[in-house]
Amino acid sequence: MTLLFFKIVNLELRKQMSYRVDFWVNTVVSFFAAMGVMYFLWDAIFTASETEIIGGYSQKEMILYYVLVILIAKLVRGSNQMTGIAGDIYTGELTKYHLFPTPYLTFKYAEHLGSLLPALIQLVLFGALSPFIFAFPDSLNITPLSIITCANVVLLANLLFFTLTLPLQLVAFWADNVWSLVVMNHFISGLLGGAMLPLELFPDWARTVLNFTPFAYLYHFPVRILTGHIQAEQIWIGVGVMICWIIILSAGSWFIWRKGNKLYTGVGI
Amino acid sequence: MGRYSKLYLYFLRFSFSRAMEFRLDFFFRIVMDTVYYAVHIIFFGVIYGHTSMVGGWNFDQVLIFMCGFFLVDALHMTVHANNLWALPEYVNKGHLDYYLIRPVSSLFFLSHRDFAANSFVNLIIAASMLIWAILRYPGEFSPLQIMVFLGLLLNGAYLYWLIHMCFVIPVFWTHSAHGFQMLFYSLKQFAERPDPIFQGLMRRTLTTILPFLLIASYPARILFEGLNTTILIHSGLVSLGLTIFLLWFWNKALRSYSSASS
Amino acid sequence: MIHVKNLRKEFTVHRKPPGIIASMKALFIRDTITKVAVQEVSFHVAEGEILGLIGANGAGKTTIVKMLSGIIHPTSGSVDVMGYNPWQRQKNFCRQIALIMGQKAQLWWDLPAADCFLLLREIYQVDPKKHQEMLEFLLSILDVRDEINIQIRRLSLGERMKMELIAALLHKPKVVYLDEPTIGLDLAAQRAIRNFILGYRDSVKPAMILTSHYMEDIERLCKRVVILLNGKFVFDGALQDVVQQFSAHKIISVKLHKPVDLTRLNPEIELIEDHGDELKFRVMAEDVAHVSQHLLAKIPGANLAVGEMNTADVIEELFQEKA
Repeated sequence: MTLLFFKIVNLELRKQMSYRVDFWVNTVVSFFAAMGVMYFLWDAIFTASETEIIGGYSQKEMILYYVLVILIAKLVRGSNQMTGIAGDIYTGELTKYHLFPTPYLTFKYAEHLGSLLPALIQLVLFGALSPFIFAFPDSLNITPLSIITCANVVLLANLLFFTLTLPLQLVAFWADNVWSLVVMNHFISGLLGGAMLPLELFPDWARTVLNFTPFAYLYHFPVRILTGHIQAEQIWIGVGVMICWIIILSAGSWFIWRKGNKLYTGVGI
Repeated sequence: MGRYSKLYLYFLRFSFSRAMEFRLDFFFRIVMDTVYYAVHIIFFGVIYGHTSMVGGWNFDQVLIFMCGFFLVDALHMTVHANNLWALPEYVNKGHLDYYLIRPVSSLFFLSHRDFAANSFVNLIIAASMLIWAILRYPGEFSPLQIMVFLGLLLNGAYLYWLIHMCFVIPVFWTHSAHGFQMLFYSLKQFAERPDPIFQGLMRRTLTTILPFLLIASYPARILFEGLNTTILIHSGLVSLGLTIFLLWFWNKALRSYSSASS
Repeated sequence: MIHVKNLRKEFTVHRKPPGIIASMKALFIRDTITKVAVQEVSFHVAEGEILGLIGANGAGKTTIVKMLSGIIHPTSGSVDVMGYNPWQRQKNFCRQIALIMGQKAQLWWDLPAADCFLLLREIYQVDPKKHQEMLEFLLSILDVRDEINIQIRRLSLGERMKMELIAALLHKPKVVYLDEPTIGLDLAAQRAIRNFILGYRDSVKPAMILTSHYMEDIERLCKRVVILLNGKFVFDGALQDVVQQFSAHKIISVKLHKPVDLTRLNPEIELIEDHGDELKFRVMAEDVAHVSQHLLAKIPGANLAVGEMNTADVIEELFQEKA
């Protein structure tokens, strides 16, 4: 069973690596495009506001935040393959999986994990390059302990993102094409999860609300853990909230899955 | 030209009759684009909580600029996007064949045959937002300024199509599922921010070979800086140059079309 | 009307080796192989003629048709269709040709045929009155007048193919390429389409090229054929000459007066048909004499006749040998 799980991970890895030119060009340009926009934007803002610190960040800390959040967000989201389940439902491929011994969703999660290798390569590659390209803060609080904690939280955040997207994909049982829901989720979680802005910049009331949603833990939380800005106690609270959301979302998905499966006729086969 | 507008009327008719077959994702797409607008306005809302100016623009100005960009984006989503998304599959599965044997420009045909009737609603939403942003602006614009602004936004939508197409065409060689569209969407972020913030080589690139800054940001400057002929000439020249490049690139691509059998 | 000279087409294919290390490597370097789809093919087609292009799967028939219609560019060689070079895709050239592929639909799935026909009228700039006349004519001979307002995807395969033919011929093309037009159709529909093609040929006198897997299509429609084997040109001439040129075999038919015990015959002689009162054997040409003697000896009073194989069988044999 576990072996099969890893076989699927491996297969998906290879699928991911097979588009050669696309892969490299996409990887390099998308990272530098995202960083470029953020760099110039914050440079303009810091120049205009004539302050050293905005929302608790110096300009160098801000740049570091974006480098980390862009790379870690890729690990949390996987490689944009998030419409796979909806696609299987829509085309009738799902019936094929009914014949497999693996539970379908386990299979899909394995595939999702498999799509992470490219993101991991990018993390290492750009993580190593960035200090030479961008000006980072003089003192970094990144310690072995914060790296290990962050890695574990990223794994959990990855599962959280998977369970967050799952109910949206399962809407495919009722609607023909749900990619717009998935894209919408991408926008919303990007803004509220800290991928577009550090959450410290939001007004206090908004931050209080965000701490109860799953979004705050997707990108912002692991990045701030890595840079040593979150105390041990708060990490445990955060992980607790994440687990609660994973349970709630899984239960919701399971409920929708059951309803949908009853309705499912395997159109297209 | 008259012939092409007649053809386009047929495409419109077909698309609306197809959209009439009610589907849930019709609404999903409208909601998606609206969420996209909201996310960006909130983004700037939060930033202007910490500063009063970004690249010399205040919040009222950025709002007009962003709504202008939304209008361009909605136009693209309505008129072109569906077609460009479908193109890689057409190329890879060999469905281009029947478009190539017609006595009509294949580039026109393949870029326009599917009109997204559902995004049409977003076009109305984006237009209303732009009107709202202009009305709430503390200053005054002359009618001529607004005309030129809208004209340049139209040119922006055209540029948007040109650039997007250039990122789809490599699929003729790579045979991948999306061409370099992911890349296009990464680079598109440059068009979503005010152009004065970009400096140096980056600025020169983004106003010439990858003219993302000309899509909505340059047009907005007509409102804030007055009628500026340099902007007009610059935009016109870039559109012309990119058009010539696209035509050359398209012909080059068709030469290596292999017409796979499905 | 159509002149093809030394036409050649190569494709480059990527090879993807298995294994994760190999696919990592493929991110940087990729192996390619060149496959020759069509090798130095030459032929010509006259006005009013239907040329049959025959070959097994992958022999390059479709590739040739696509080069002649300007969809793909040849690697080398020249093509002249009505004085045009197809892959320049000039408007006047496009207006005079038609391509029908049994495997690929040109009509839009969600729309009724009538809508597509109107769009095509605009595309080909056909005068509305002439368009209507031609449409009436085509609809009546193919007998699909009632289906014209039904969405394409709700039509049967045969009806859909008829609509495809109408769509392709509405602008009265002078050059028509038919690539497997009867594939997957039932016998009645195949017959209707064959008659229709002949009718169109007689009234418009176009140059036509037909590829088909069904020998019956070729036999009914084409006087002349070009045979391709793995992209190579092997025969150009009248259909009936194929047998003489390629068949190494003869058919010996034996008329029987009473039943025979077949086990008495030499088991190496290939019996291909057994009708009870008539047996047919396939024999190499040089063996005809001694096999006949053997048969006469074993089947007393038999009535022997030596004949040619039929064209379809010869061609099939040819493809199998080379495959």
